[in-house]
Amino acid sequence: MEHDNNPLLSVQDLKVYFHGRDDTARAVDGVSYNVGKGETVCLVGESGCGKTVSALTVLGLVPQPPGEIVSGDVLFKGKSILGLKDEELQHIRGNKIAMVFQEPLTSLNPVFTIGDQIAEAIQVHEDVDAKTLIERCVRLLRDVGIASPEQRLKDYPHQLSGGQRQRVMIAMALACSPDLIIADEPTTALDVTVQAQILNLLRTIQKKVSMSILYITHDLGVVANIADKVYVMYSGQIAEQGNTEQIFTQSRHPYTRGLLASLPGRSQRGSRLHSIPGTVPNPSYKPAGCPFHPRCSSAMETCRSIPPEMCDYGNGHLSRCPVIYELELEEKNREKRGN
Amino acid sequence: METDRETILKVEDLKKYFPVRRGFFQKISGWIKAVDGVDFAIEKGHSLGLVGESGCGKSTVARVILKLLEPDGGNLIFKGRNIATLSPKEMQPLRKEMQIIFQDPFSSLNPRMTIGQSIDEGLRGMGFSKKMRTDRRNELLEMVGISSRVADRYPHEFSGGQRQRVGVARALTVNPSLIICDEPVSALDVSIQAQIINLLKDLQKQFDLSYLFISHDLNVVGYFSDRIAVMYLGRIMEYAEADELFKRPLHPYTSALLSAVPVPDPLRKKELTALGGDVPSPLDPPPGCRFQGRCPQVENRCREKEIELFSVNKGHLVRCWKTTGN
Repeated sequence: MEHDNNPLLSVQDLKVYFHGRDDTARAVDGVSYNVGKGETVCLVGESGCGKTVSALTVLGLVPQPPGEIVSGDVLFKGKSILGLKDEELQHIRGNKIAMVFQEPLTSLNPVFTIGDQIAEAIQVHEDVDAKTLIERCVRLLRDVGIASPEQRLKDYPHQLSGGQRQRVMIAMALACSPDLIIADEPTTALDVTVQAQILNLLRTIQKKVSMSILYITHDLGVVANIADKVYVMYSGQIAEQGNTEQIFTQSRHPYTRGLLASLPGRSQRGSRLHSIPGTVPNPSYKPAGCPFHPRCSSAMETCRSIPPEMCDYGNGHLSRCPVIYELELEEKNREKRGN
Repeated sequence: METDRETILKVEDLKKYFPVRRGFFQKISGWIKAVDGVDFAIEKGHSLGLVGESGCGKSTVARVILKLLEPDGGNLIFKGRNIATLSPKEMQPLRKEMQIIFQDPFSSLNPRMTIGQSIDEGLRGMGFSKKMRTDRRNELLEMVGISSRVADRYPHEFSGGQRQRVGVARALTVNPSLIICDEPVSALDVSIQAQIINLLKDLQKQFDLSYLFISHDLNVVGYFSDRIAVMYLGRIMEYAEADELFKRPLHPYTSALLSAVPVPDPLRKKELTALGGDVPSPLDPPPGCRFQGRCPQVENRCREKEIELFSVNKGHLVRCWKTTGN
């Protein structure tokens, strides 16, 4: 793939640890991912798997201390942005890379009108006069589908509904036409009908301006609907990566398979749901070897001691499970011999 | 036959209004009709799913059934007895028949009590000796998949899924016949969700429990329930067997809800059909059909008069003019 050679955003072997009084939480433990131009990339995983921290690091939003970036690099348009000072980062934050958070009510300031807040996002990066500023705010609000934007500009966040607030957040993120939007669970707090509105909105905007989206979620339904590429995270690492079809129809990692099988739906009615036993490991006390082995049904003796490597299935499909990989190889060889 | 099963709870024309107060003297300036004429029935050993968007009144229904809120109208017939008008004192013996499992396992357990004490609290009123209580407590914990050795630990030492298991154990202390599950899995991760759903299903089989299962997640409700009621702005819009509802949704709102759910299958990737607008304020719902403002098939008669729930098929009720056939 051409954009893989020169991705817009490239996170390489990132390790972010949080130091507590007695222990160190290895929240992100060697994560690499790429976001190409115009692509929608999903980071999926359960709570505590490190998906949010790995995205916050990109924007330099991890407080240090207690956080520590132990190793790795973040390249944006080929340039490292990990070691940048705050002033330098300021040119990128909001301008080139914007962020949409999960809970719009807590990320909007309750004492300013939404017009003020969108205007602020523009003024930080550009010098514009008052008249064009208002025009741009109105246009942004119209773009994200808010009715009568001239009046809405004077509203405070509490006067809007949850869906409208999330639209305002997206308008703020779009204010400086960024190359990349990082959306951290933007629809988790919303009703399904409103979620559908927001997902459709992101898709239309993306088509119009060819922007990249890094979408963080735990909802596999959403992933199947919007993603080009998917990274499944477990316990601070990428468990499996590939395009949407590879992940959903040919998943090779027991965790991904388990997640997909545990989704309730009409088809499983009457039968028991598949469930993954146990819970996500504590990031301070991860099991040795493969972090998933205590919950894995295909775990072997080696999984308990040797940290698994990524296995390549071709076409960008990688899975961190040598056991399944070798099983498949054996099967193929047997077939060959049989022929 | 399902119809032969005993009806455990029958809700008839249930109403709950909240006053809106304004001004210095806090005069009542209006009423929020959170629940405005709701009817349904739950049979013994069955689950009824109640779905709807936030603010549609589904949690208020749960609280009124438990009489945590007093109903403003209608009947609640529990095991053949109308409990809507009972005083708190008369309700007392019935309390142990009905239990609730809350959404958020982080805030529904007392952080200063060990989980053992939390469960013990429910057992105390039942006249057991201390020894019997401890035995029963351990039995309950093992039943929900938690080792009884950890009974003296505090809630913060458990994960979300384990806390929800404790919530289930608490609900079971008094041998209830009806359990109301108010979004029991929406705060949990996918892999943990399945564990709790399986647990609830197993317990249902074991004790012939009835559930009122409240959720906004149609996938979960569709898997879990025998019958489903779709609620919008304080009213039931459609009420049918789960299979029937998913195969043949008749109300435009139900169809909209179903088509807005993202399907975890990239081969069936579709433009999600999004309803325009948000749920209107229940403070003053529009005259006529409450869904008219967002309905893609709205007609003139929808704006004038609201139709009653109308039976289209055996046990399939819909509140929409379209389905009357004229």
